[in-house]
Amino acid sequence: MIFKVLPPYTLGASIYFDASIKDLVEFRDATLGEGKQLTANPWVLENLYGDMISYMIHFVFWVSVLIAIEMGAEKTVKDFFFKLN
Amino acid sequence: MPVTNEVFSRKVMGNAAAVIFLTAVAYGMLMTSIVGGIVWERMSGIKHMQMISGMDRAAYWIANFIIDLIQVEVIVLISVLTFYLANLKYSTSWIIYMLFPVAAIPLTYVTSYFFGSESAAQTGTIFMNFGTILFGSTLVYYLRFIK
Repeated sequence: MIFKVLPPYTLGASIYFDASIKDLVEFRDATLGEGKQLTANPWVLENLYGDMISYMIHFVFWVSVLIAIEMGAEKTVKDFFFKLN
Repeated sequence: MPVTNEVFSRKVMGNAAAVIFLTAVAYGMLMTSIVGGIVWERMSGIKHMQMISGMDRAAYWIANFIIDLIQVEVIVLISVLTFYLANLKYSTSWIIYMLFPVAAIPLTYVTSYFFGSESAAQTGTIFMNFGTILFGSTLVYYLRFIK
């Protein structure tokens, strides 16, 4: 979950997920855990919603950070800390 | 002689590891080329010169984003087509591959501010992408099977 902070992680995880979907479904069905129920059908988008939403959140978040930097947020933060010191 | 399920599964996972390694190298390099251009423009003063010549900051970033998005999406399309032609059966990963540039390019723009030189930016970016795609996903995948 922590790795989801970086978008490239999801790329590798998606390949592992696609390659091992049957094993993962079997493993999850056979063991007790907190994980959500998976389905082996590759066309079920529910398996991917989390990744797709995380990419959308990344886009919005990083564009907001970029806008903040361009509007001078970096200088405001620096000034704030200099005043504190 | 028919292949056992265990052997077939091992082969599929071996293919996945190879695909992830190549993805990590290729996509790491792509992001590196993007960050290199951005840092070079900032450090050489070209960005500043464009700004004082009246260019809007939003226009600068939107133009960069559109061009970078097109460039990366072409490579993504080639990757997805290769998966299909090689019969790799990654039925849903293509959606994640297609969406990857939308998330990764703005992150690369933000991280470009952390670096003071083009070479440092390129090295940092390739390590971040390569490490996260290859080692991050492999580590998490295998940790899932530990009780």
